[in-house]
Amino acid sequence: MYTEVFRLCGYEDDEIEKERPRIDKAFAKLGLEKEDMARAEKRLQENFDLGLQGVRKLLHVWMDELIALPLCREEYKTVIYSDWPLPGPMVMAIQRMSDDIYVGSIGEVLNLGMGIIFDKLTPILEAGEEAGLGVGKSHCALWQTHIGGITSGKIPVPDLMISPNWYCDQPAHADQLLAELYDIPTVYMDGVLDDQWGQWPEISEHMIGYMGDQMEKCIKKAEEVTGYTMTEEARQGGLQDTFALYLNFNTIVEMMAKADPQPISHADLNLAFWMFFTPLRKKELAMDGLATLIGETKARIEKGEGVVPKGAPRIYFGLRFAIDSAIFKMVEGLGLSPQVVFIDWMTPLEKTPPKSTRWADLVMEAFLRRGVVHSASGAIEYVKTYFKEWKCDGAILCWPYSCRPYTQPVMMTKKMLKEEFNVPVLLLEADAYDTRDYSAGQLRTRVETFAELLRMKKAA
Amino acid sequence: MDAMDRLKTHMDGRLRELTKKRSEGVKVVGYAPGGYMPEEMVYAAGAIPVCLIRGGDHEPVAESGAYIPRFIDTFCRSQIGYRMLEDEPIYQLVDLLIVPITDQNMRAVAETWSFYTDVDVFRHGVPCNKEEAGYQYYLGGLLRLKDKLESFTGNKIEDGKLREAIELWNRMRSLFKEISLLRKGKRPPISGEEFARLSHASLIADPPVFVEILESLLEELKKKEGAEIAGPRILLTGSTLAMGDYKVFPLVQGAGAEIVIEEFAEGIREYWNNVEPNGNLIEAIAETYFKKRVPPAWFSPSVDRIDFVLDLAKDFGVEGILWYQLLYRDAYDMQTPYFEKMVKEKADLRMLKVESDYDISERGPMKTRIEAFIEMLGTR
Ligand code: SF4
Repeated sequence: MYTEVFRLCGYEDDEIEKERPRIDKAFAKLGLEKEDMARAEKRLQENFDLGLQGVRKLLHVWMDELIALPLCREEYKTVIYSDWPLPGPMVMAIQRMSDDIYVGSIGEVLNLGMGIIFDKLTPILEAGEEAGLGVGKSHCALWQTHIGGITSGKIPVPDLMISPNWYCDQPAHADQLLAELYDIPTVYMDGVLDDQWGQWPEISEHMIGYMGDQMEKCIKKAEEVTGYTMTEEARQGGLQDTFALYLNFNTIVEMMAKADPQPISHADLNLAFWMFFTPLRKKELAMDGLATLIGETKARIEKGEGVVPKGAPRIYFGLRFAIDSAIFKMVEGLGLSPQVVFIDWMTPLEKTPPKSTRWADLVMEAFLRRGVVHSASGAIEYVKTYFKEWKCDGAILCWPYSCRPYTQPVMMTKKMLKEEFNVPVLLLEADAYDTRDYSAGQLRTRVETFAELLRMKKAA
Repeated sequence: MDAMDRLKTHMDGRLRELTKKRSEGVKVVGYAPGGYMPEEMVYAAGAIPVCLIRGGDHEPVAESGAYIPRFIDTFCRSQIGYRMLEDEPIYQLVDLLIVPITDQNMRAVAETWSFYTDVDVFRHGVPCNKEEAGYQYYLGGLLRLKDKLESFTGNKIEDGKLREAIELWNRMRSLFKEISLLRKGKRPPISGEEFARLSHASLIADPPVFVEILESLLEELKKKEGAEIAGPRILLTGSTLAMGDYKVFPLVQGAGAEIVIEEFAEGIREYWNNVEPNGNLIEAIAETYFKKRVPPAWFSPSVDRIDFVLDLAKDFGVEGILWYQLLYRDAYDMQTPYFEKMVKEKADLRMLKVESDYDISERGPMKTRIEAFIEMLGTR
């Protein structure tokens, strides 16, 4: 029933045959049935450029993760769950401690697999709501999915949860709820963002040091639970896993920001973005996918091919959607070119090498160096730098319904863009993790008008 | 004149007094509630601490929508709205705003004031656990706060002055505790609403004057016998009980019950523990304000809060818990499922959760639900 879906995701037929017992078991646990396959085929064909081999490879990686997740209890000795905003290098280093350990960013895996590919996330979100992250209370949908995956029985109960509590506090509250109701061992990575307004790009050492200590505490707990020891090699490997992926991704981001017309869709690039926070079992395939995509993007630029007309208005688009690639297709289909999306691009200041020497501090410093993560003033500076560098025609800023940290600077950023760059700005309310929180039709109407406005302004 | 009348007279003139002091060069230091900003330090720096604690009005909530997306806690949105509306004078008097960063909602207040106003905003972090590292972080924040207050006011926070301030606040806390404990009896001499109003006044009044009034009030209350509580005794809890947001009190009373004790992270002064006025005073402050304090729901873990509430319920002979939830205060909302389960399992207590976004339209449904809850308690 699913052969075609897997082919579209870059699997060879013999591979599908070999994996069939695992796929059957995983799909049964996830509740994926025959009728879901037809929908997945349609979505894959409509939302992705399957002519790009790099895209197929990235889809393959996500499909592998989706199969591994429900089976992790039977296939690994120890199961550990985490999710964004837990620093990628840490979870990837823990994953590298032994092949016996499964570490999963479960919300991301379910979003990309059950959301983007199968569009069957709602029962999981509803289970999360049922468990205590109620409807209409603006609880983070990523964590509704995280919790709902477990409480719905689709994925196993872990041996340990490593809960992030530094960039935003919702994950820790959600995990605490789960820990109390289901008695799951949990360790919290605490953190406080208390630098002063305008302080970024300077980052206080006390913040870095505290969060670094907290990260070490989590690693220690993971050592206790798994019985393995964190090695220097695993630490460096964790860093390498994250940054190697990011560097390749950034190569494409910069190529796209400079190119006219825009060579590939952000829907395709979206598949790579969410990998930075997810320990992957097939890291090599992810790297290969990105390398292939770099080559394919380059070839299109050289040929002058693109997914939007040459000279299309260029915008900054303020959100990545983890469950809905169609949004990017819609924006591009309306003739706008999202030059850079969300925080894909790294400003020169953000690229400054960290000063810290201890591994955990270095990881935290690199994260806090991102303006958006550090503070509202850092976030505003990020967009300001971006507009100075890339000189685009306007911006679509989004505030996600359930994300308190990210929403804070959005209206301030609009004010800054109007005053300092005199560009049109459209504000949209949406959600990166739950399609039920917005109406795609309404968003389309507003983007359509905005696109018209930008075209008129450009022509004037 | 009895103590409550004196307090009213003092509060009526407080705005004029603050304006005058400010015109004489005294700094007015606003701060966010939550019990993590030691007023003693502001006072010892020769400035006037004033808590931003107004709430319950719809207009500021609506006004905040022009500055920040709506998914921030109602009380925190109000703190943005009151300042922007410019019709709550105390919010315009603030020279420096101190915001202990407890969660993202409080952080939003700091970020918004920084961007949209010319008020200097100082943030200091409150870690969400009571590990030694968390305590050290909080202590470090107080030391940075001390530097900030000294440079902002131009006055050194000397040990002598700080000790005097600690002793004054210790007296205030002890008096609050004594008054609160009077409510354990069958005929509390002070109602839940009166106690909440008293607590709110303490966050704005002139501390020496307020302590004097509190002394007299305690003596008066000791002699007074309130009406016997006929219906169930209620514990009121939640994240924030703001000054002006008193709507649940008449609803509970109207249904024949009485709120005899409350537990809030913001709005009710923490009075259970005093600060040791000896040794390293900043460390002593951190010990009381951070370590001894019951953790709010945004701590992880925060189950100690549930045990604390259970102890209160037992001590005050409580028969039901009313959970006053503000919209989008996620930590509290997410704690309710296991809180409710634990209070039922451990003490056979029933709980009702009501939610508010400071909107008058909530009153009707809230009334019906509170009445039904109290009726249910009465039949147990
Ligand atoms: S609330 Fe926002 S920052 Fe926090 S986990 Fe959810 S989406 Fe991420």
